[in-house]
Amino acid sequence: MVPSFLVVAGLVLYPLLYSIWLSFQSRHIFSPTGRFIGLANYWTLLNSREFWESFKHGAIFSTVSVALQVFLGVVLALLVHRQFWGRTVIRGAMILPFIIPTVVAILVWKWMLNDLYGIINHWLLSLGLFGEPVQWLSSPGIAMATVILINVWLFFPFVLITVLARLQVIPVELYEAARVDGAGPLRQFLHVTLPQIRGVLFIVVLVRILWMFNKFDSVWLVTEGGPLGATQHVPIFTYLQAFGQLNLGRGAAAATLLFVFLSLIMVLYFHVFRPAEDTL
Amino acid sequence: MNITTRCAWIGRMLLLVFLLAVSAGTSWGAEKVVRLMTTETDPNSVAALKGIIAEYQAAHRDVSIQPEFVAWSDIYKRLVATQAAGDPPDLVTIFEAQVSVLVDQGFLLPMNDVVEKIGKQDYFQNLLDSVTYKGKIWGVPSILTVDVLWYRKDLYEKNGLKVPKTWSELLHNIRTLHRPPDIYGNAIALATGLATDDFTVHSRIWSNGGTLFDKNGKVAVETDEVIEAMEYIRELAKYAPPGAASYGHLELINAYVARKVAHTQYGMRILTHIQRLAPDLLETTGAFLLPRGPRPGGRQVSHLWLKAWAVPKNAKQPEVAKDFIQFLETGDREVRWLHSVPIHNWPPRKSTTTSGAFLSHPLMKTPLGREAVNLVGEAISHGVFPTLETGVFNPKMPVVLEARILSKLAQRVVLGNTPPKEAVSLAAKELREVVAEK
Amino acid sequence: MKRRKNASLAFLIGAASATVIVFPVVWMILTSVKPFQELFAVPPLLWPRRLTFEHYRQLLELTNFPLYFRNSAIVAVSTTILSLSIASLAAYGLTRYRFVGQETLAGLFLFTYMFPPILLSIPLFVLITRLKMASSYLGLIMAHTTFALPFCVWLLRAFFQSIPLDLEHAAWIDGANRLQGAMRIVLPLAYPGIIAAGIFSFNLSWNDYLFALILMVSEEKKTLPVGVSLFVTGATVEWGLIMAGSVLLTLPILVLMTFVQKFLIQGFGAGAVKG
Repeated sequence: MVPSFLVVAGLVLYPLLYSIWLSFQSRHIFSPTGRFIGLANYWTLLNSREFWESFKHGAIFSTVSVALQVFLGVVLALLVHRQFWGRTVIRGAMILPFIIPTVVAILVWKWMLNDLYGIINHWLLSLGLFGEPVQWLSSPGIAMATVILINVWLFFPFVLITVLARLQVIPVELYEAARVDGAGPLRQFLHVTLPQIRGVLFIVVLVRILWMFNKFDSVWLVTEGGPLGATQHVPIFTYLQAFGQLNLGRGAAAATLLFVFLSLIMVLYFHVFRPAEDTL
Repeated sequence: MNITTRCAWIGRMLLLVFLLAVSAGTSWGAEKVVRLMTTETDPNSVAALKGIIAEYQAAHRDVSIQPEFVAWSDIYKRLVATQAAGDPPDLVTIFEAQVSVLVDQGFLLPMNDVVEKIGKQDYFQNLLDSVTYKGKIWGVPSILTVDVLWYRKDLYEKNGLKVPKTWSELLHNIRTLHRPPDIYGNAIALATGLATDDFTVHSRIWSNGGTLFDKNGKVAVETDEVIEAMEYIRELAKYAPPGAASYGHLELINAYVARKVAHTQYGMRILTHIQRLAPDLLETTGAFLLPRGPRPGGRQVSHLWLKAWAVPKNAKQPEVAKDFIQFLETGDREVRWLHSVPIHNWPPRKSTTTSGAFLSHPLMKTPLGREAVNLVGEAISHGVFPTLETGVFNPKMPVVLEARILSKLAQRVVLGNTPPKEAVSLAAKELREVVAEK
Repeated sequence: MKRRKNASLAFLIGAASATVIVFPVVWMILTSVKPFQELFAVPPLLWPRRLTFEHYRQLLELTNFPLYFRNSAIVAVSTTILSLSIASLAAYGLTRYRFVGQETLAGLFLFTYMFPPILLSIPLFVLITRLKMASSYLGLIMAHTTFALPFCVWLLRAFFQSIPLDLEHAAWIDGANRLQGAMRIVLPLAYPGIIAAGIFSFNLSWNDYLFALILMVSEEKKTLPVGVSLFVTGATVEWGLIMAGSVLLTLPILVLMTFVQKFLIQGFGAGAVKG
């Protein structure tokens, strides 16, 4: 166990520390060396309106996406946990968004949402719900909602699979006992189900938050951060700094700032939602 | 199956995986391995390249050329990664706009010798200029592409319109044909991306006689020429489909193919798409150069784009790589390479453009094909490279383009309702920042 | 009676939600069998007027799709096996032993997810090249395992925690040693968690684009997502090939999941917690 830990730790720690080291340099992305400039990159970023805008967008994107992913995932997990005909097929269908490669899924979504030949606008118009095609991707206001929608679709199965697995090891007796005590479905959920899945939810929510803050391609491929920067979040900002402006040092600094923020979040999260004590 | 047996199986699988992985590290046994990285991922181009490689290897038995096909948007990531690991490919496709950045970092070897061997006089001069920096040539030109405006000939005929030569004529035609929601006047790219930077903004600035920088490399964008160009773009956007703010390269093609726009802007590649997705449009489509703006410096333009072969400095087999380029870019091989995306891939040398072999592709024999071929010639003579917009090579251009300043400019004017003059001033400020740092 | 009504209601809601959720995938499948001319018809066609398998033929003949498939399979299966093995051991260690800095160690694991992968990928590539593992299955497997591991560890830990120690104690009294106790008691009870972690690891590896792009240089080692993305250049999309490729990419996983789900239900039945 210990050697494998070390290998894995090495594979993560080395790139992590290296990137942090980069953030203190002025370094062109193609150059093998850089010039040490201390905290200059950080100073520029903290004073940059664009950086804070990106951060704000990232915060909105992550919190709303995760909330919806968890809600949808839990509700649907409860649904397909029940016995009914066709359950296996429906379960399989619900995890499909997760297993489609992101590139393709987004291509398909953009196609369906297109204003001219997209089927969604076509249906909305035929049903008379809207007079004009909806500006899913071209209106700065709606674009963020669209990106959130697509990301919720892509990743809620992740929550569903894990919560469902946990549901399946809850001892049936607990529910029977509750029923005997006169508890209806809602009370059963609150007093039996929720405490049982708490441990799993803890880690799922945390990981989803961390992931959504750092997710690059599922936003980039949809809008490249536009229109008018409305969907640009920190990973996109980092990418544009490093590969667009060719400023590797500053890109690394942006990523490190996010890293520090997320570490703080994690510490806070642990304090507030301390997981169940180890059984020993 | 009990637990211990299961564990034994897991153990065996891991061992198998390990062995596979180890064996995977073995090389091919050829003496000289040349690694080639290219962005030409079209299946026809892939097939053409592999065929040419096979021919070369047959004539040089000690050489093994390993092509790697990388998506256009990923090439920078791959190059950075290989460079960081000290293991760059031996041959790579670069765009002319990337030359100055790569050379400044000492990444490339000069290619003067290869160009001389193939015949320096034969190349179009502006192509060579676009890859010349600090007195040396850094890429062997391979594929030239142009962009033009495509239009619905049948609708022109029905409405008695003529091919426009000036901005106002084009706008008139667009307005006349704009009949939403059946069909929109024109498709215009406004999403953050290269299509908007190049096609929408940069070309139109040039067509009014404006440039981003002057001959000394100073930001020169706050001029009437540029402000007028942004006003013109704002007008054009009014006659575009509602989703234009999300349009990139893809949508420019698709909107036209879906018969929802009367005009679109693209390179010759759209022909193969029309052929496949809506073949009847081939007969009712025509093309013309971007019309000129009202200013004295206004002219018809085409945005030029050049792909060239470059050899990284730390390449392991530079001599073989250079020899292969010479093989690929001459004779029948060159024609096959270019024909993989017919008419869109245009030769960099004059003799090829007039050769019977090159002009014999079936698509070029169709009426639209012939029209397109003639137009390419015109486009090249009116053509502009971003790095050479003033006639003097501007090494800062790559960074400017990657910063997407022009996309932001267009979006501010069209989506943000910012007055063009203000938006241009903002862009000027951004340009100065970006240029000052590198 | 009430049970039947509940079941029907559940089915209806389930089917309705599933249909909405699955729609883009249906679109993908239908597109993969549409001839070129129907792709951008306006008004948009849902059902193809004419069926064609042209795209599948082209995919299998003109591209290296079968090769990519093999590579992805090797990497994904290995990643899953490796992650699950290490994660089980780690989770067991974290729940059954007590040692200093336990929580911190577990938390540190999560650092992997706090940094944008794009920046991690380049130093990782440098490291792997220096170890002469570039373009080797092992290099990519290790990269994928690194990313799958933290979540797997935490998830399995949550499952192991819910299994009371008394059951293992009972086994120890019966003469089993620590390892056997774990294998016989803990693993069967945590099966759904292991399956879920497995699905997660497999999917992470199967669909990974960034690391496969950066770490697998040579053509013969390319994995599916990278291969399929080649059909999307900045300016063109080979729609037919992409859709056909994606269907073929997703199908095996779907089959795998269904198979695994049956196993899940069995596993639960076999190791049901009874009192």
